[in-house]
Amino acid sequence: MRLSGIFRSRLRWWTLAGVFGATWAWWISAQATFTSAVGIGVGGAIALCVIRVLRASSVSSEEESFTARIWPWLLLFGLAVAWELFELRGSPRIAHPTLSYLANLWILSSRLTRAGVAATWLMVGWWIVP
Amino acid sequence: MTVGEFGWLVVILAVAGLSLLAWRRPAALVSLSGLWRLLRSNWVGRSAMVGMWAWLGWHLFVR
Repeated sequence: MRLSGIFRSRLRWWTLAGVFGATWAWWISAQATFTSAVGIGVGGAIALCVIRVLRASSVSSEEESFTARIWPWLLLFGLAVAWELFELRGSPRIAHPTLSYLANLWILSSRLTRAGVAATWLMVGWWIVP
Repeated sequence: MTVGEFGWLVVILAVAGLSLLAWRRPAALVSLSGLWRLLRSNWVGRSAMVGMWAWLGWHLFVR
């Protein structure tokens, strides 16, 4: 009985959060860049996430061997950053595509995919804090 | 395909390859989900991720 109450309360909370997030993403996708409205919308989401990070307590870390097992990822991250910077210095953009250029071309050009990216961005921000 | 696009394809394939390696040899390489857990587990990792996340959102939608 009590468990079902908790489940129902959580379900209600997640539904509300989902509806709010989807509405926010759809609204953001309709806003033009460099406007106050989009700045306030995205800034508000960032402020919420920063508050959650500041309030979160520490979680016990994984085993020590982790550091020895992450260097290929660090190397790849470094290479990707170097490639982005290399492309950024080149022109024209079509021959030297940066990640922003590719994102504009493939996923930010229609409202539906733009809303999808906004919703995904919001969810990632929520998941950062355990 | 331009050289620039080819470079990004190589990066994507490298991520896929490392993920596969991490899945087959978990003792040798941390998986992407393991990295995610590691970064979330401490204050420094969380702050770095929130910083990158905030910059990305601002850059994509506000400019």
